[in-house]
Amino acid sequence: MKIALVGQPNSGKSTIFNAVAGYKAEVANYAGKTVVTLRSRVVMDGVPFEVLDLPGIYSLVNPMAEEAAAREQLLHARPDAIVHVVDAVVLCRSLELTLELMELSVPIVVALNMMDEAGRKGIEIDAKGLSEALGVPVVPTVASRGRGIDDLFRAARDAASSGKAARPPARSPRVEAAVEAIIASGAAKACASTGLTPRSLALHLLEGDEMAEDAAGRGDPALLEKVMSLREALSSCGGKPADVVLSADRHGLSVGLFERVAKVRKAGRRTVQDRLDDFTTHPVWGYAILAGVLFGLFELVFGLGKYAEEPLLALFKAVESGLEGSLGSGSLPAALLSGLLQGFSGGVAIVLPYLVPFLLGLSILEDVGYVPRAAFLMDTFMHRIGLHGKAVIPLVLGYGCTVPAIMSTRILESPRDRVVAATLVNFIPCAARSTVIFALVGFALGPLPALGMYVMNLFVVAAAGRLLLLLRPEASPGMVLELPGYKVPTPSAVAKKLWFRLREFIVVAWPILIAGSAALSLLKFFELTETVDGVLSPFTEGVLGLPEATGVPLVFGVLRKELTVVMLVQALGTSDFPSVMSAAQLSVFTVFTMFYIPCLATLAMMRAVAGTRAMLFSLVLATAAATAAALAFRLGFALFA
Amino acid sequence: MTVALNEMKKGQSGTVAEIHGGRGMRQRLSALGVRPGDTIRVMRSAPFMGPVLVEIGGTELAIGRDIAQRIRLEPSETA
Repeated sequence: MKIALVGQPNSGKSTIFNAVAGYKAEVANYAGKTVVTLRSRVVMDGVPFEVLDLPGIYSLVNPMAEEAAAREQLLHARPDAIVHVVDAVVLCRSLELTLELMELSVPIVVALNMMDEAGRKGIEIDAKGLSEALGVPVVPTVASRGRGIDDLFRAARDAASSGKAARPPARSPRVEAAVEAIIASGAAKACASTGLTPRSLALHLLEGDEMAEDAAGRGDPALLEKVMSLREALSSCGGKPADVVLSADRHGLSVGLFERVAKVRKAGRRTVQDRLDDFTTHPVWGYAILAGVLFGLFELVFGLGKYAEEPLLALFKAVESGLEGSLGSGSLPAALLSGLLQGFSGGVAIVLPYLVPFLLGLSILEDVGYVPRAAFLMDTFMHRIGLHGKAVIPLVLGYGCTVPAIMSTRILESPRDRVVAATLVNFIPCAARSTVIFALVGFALGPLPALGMYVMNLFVVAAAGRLLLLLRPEASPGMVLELPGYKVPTPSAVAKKLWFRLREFIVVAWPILIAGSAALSLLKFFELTETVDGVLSPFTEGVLGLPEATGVPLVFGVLRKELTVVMLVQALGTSDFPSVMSAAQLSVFTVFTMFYIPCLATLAMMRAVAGTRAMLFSLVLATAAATAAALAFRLGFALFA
Repeated sequence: MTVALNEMKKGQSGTVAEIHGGRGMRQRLSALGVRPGDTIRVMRSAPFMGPVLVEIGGTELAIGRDIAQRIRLEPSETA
């Protein structure tokens, strides 16, 4: 038995999914977070079934970007029942999607979610009345508190096993007549490949849905001609295009339903959210808050990270020298073991102290709902670099990890915007590259130069954006972004997300880190590092003016950026970087690492999202930018320091 | 007399009269609940020609300038 969760972005679908599926989905409080379908096997009352969490979707007719993926998955997954998760606050708008879904002839249950929030906004909904009016079960839920979840899935299970789909409400006589005419002309033949019913295909065709047109055109060109003439007939009555007639018709039905089942008390007093938004979107306070939030996050990471890094490093150093004492240095096992230990301690002492507070802060910001406010404030700035405000989301996520950030560029509507955003995301220092900034510049030169690195980075990102704007002129459709209500993040959701992201480091990156560190130890033991360093030295030493030993760490950095610092410790034989590298060298190394060849995982994701050509282009651009920026720093230090 | 959404003042509300643009634009806006006949209240305009923050149907939308200027409104008398 397969149950699909469908709903508009921010309706709380993922929260419902998480409540029923455990630690398997990521929840975030901004539009378009779920870009992949998550599935989970669930056993309830001893009965097993499968739950699919589809990406958020506003409408089945001509959906944008990642919504198109949601529609395709929905139409091809052939679920036994659909749970339509509705944000009760925007019930009227959401009912339109309910009406579209009802046309699919699949049993539907409506989850009336965020009932508490609707109550606060003075919206009272008669769930029983709505259920009677639609002819489908309606279950009120408050997913964030786990209320109504069991009832919801019991209803969905019952609906699925009954297999009975309610009859969708009739449209206006004119529309119904046109639908009849299309079905009579053989819509059934054309709908096989679409997963739509003949009736829903007819409605989609009348509304000008491109997928339906393609399917009909391929199967039966005569049908498409029939549709064209019916559309003209529809628009000739009121002088409005057929798609407006269809959407106005559906809108009318939803408004009618809404007025029957919902009462809106005129909310006289302004909600806490309104008052908060007065500040967060204010032309002065908004930017001050944005700067404060980013600075606070930075302080949190730096403060906590440094606090934990020093004692941990000292501890591992003691363990290591103890080990060397008992095994004797210079033997192969000792070299191997110390390599493994350094890889392990690098993860614990250097990466985790910064990664944990950073991901924690980012998860909280996402769940509170602050990210779309930042998008609102940053829209103008983003336009300067050829993107719009929504692109601030992947760019901000980029400070966490480049891989999910590139994934999140799928929220952008045009492919051009996705390629540009993904390329720029790559320039943002991810947590791993931040480790380099903190450990080298921050730890050795102080917090202010480290902050300076971030500011410099923004300028390079802006310059790269301008360059890309020249290469691929903007055809951005502009921004329409929903600002979801603020939510108090639940500790369990934040913990889940933190774990979800940390797990990626622990499971995927850390083993590579340990293996890489051991490999480096072996390279050293067999005295091969000099060979690698020697091959690279014309570049590292000649062009960048770095110690020759930095060659190997830079090579390993391509595998995983977290490796860079650990490898540097190994290569230089000390974690006290200032004793072996000058301020200029530390800065040049950091700047180069910030921009050069992205890690393997990033390249793979980039290829998946934007294609091979875009991936190769971004690789070349990144390396060129890294070399140019590093040279500029080298020159700057030579001239002014 | 209709006014473009980007020319409305903070706190002013109006009824959507028409949306200039193709079917894609109309459908995108209507999916988010912006369509002729609906009432929009302007909550804020971002500085530097930034997006307009509006309230419509119980939710808040940030609409970029280029799209906002295609939405023509009939301003309400109470404004």
